[in-house]
Amino acid sequence: MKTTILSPVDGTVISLDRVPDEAFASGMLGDGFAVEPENGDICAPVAGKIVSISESRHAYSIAADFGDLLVHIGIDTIGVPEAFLPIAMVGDYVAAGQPIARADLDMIKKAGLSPVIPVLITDLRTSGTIKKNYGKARGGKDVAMYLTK
Amino acid sequence: MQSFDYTLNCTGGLHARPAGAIVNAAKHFSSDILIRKLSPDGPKEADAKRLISLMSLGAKRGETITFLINGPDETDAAEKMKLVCRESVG
Repeated sequence: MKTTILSPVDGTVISLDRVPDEAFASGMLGDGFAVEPENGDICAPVAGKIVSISESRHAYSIAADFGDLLVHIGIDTIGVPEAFLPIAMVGDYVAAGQPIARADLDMIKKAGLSPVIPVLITDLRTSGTIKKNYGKARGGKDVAMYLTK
Repeated sequence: MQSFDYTLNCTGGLHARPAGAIVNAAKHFSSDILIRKLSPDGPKEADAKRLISLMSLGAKRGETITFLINGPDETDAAEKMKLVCRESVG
């Protein structure tokens, strides 16, 4: 069985250790990948339920069949909530590829912050091997990571 | 059962980084570790071993959360959780 996790945004999928934040780069918060975004249209990487949206609107948690996923838009973006517009709401069930938020990348960059988007499996409820597809990807369309049993 | 209260002093409340510190410490114990927050809608509880559960509490700076720890290693777990709150959560 293969579970696929899409890139949440148009951009370049990179390894987590290239994220300029130790909490993500070390894998402390979970395994996954990151995307250097080309635009701010953020989609759900998997189907599931939106469990939480941070108060500052930059972090989206999705409970999926296989486990929990966190989409964290930008690094240290907790202080620029005005850069984010949630489209999905807490409690919504979303399809993979469905828009969940819009981010103003220019506003994030003007604040001197990185707009890179880590996507992490924070809790894996099935056993399996995680593999990644690094490189260019279309948001909500191309597979960035998959789980095989 | 061990329990203690902690008032959050971290900017942005219990977001990914401080919540991750709690999860990473909690995972090492076999005891059940719940975190409760009182809200106008009634108490909300989260599993301290699950990041998105903790984040869904929406606990903000200045709010008090209660740790409820129950199991064979609850005393050690309570001490570790207090240490993590002081040193990594803020």
